[in-house]
Amino acid sequence: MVKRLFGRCFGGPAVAAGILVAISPATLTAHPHIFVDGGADFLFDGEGRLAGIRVIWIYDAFASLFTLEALEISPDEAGRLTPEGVAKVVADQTTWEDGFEGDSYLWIGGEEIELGGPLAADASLDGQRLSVVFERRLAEPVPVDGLQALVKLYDPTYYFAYFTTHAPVLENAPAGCAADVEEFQPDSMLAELQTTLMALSREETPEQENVGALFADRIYLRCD
Amino acid sequence: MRLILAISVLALIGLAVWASGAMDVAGRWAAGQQREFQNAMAAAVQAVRTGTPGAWATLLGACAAYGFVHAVGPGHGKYLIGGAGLASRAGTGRMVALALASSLAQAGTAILLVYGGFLLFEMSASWAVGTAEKVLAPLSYAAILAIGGVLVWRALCTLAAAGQRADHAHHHGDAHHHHEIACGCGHAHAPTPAQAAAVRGWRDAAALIAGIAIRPCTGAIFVLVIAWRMDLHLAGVASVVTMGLGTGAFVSLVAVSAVAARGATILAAGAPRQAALALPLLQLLAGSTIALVSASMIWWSLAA
Repeated sequence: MVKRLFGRCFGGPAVAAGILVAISPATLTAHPHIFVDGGADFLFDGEGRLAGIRVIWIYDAFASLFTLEALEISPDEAGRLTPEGVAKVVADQTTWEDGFEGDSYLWIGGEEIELGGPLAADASLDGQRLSVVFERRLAEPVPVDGLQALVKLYDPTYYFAYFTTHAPVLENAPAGCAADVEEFQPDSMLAELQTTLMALSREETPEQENVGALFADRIYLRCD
Repeated sequence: MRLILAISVLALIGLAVWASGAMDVAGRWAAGQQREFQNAMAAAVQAVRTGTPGAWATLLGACAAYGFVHAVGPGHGKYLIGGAGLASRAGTGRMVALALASSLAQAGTAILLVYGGFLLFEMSASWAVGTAEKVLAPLSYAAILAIGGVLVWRALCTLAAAGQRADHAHHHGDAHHHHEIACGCGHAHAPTPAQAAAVRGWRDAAALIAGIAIRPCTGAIFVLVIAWRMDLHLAGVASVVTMGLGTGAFVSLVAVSAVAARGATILAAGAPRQAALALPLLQLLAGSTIALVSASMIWWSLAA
């Protein structure tokens, strides 16, 4: 959608982003134009393994209106999307430009896990706000014994600002798993920025840290 | 000494604001406010379409507020106008006029881009936003980088000329003039106060305005696309112009602060001879800051 509609610049190499953070205050580049509420659900397969996540995006009223008008979609009299409207929104939202990583990231045990492209997408309009839902699969389902997983929704460039307002649902979860949301704390931001800066002076490649990630909420899954 | 002290204090204040995270706090506050006003705009545009009484007033009010808080975020020529205010001899009135003119010109660019695009050819909304973000934004940063470079250049010339003039005092018996100042910026022999000013005449003003106006605000493009599709063409123009006035109001505050900071620095510099150096040094400071900031913005916008 807006991803495609809004024409955006993507993260680039982590080092470049890191150095940029180092030479300019975070807000210099952090310039949210689009506000997205939402969150993520955790999806488990028949064997009780973590198989994927469901991402939920609920656009602010302004971005929703822009998207509808730009895609030339007229809601029905009840203010809902017609089937044709749903198809248009889904097509726009799930066509990801090269380099776009879906603004949704998963870590398991501290290691970033690649997620597949958007599947089973749906869209709806509730009053003024457009919602988009889609699933992303892990290449290989992961057993949940002692599992610690983390999902963050963010745009590396902070053009989109994401807020976790949705309580994560565990679908087909085996016993012993629980999820919780840790909201971004403004106070911790400077500390993280500092960590980023210090990481740069080390000889190692800094892990993926960029402006958007600094402001991201954390959605945790923990299994016994 | 007092001059160096005064300029150092100014630079330190800037650095302290930067390091303290005050800008982050301001940015976050602005983002929250912006979200509110964005939602208000969306509701108001729909109210205008259905002919709800008072919808126009709500729409324009929301646009003005959006323009103001959005300008608290980066861009919109704050650094440039602030730097020019710091580095030039232009008074408060002139700087405020520049701030308003640049914001309104920016609104004009958005109108030209969106309405022009829809009128003249089958433009898609994504094309408008893509052009603004991927083409016009880097172009604007490049223009501003050039302006920063010119400021630095002029400052160096003025300083060099001042040095040579001091030299002249000892050699005024020489029959010929020493015109061979390396930077060749003309009239280096006797810089006048007017020459030292960064904003010289309409050409400089036009360059400043154009540098800022090249890049339209995304929020303005959104409103125009929505208004066009809803056949509310006039409402779109009125909204964006009002938004520009809101942005201009905030940038004006920056301009006024910059003029005040310049006055304080020159005053603090004390002796006239030192005060004469204050302006070129401020110019150097402002120019290199503008150049650094815009260079990092170019880097960012091209790091696709």
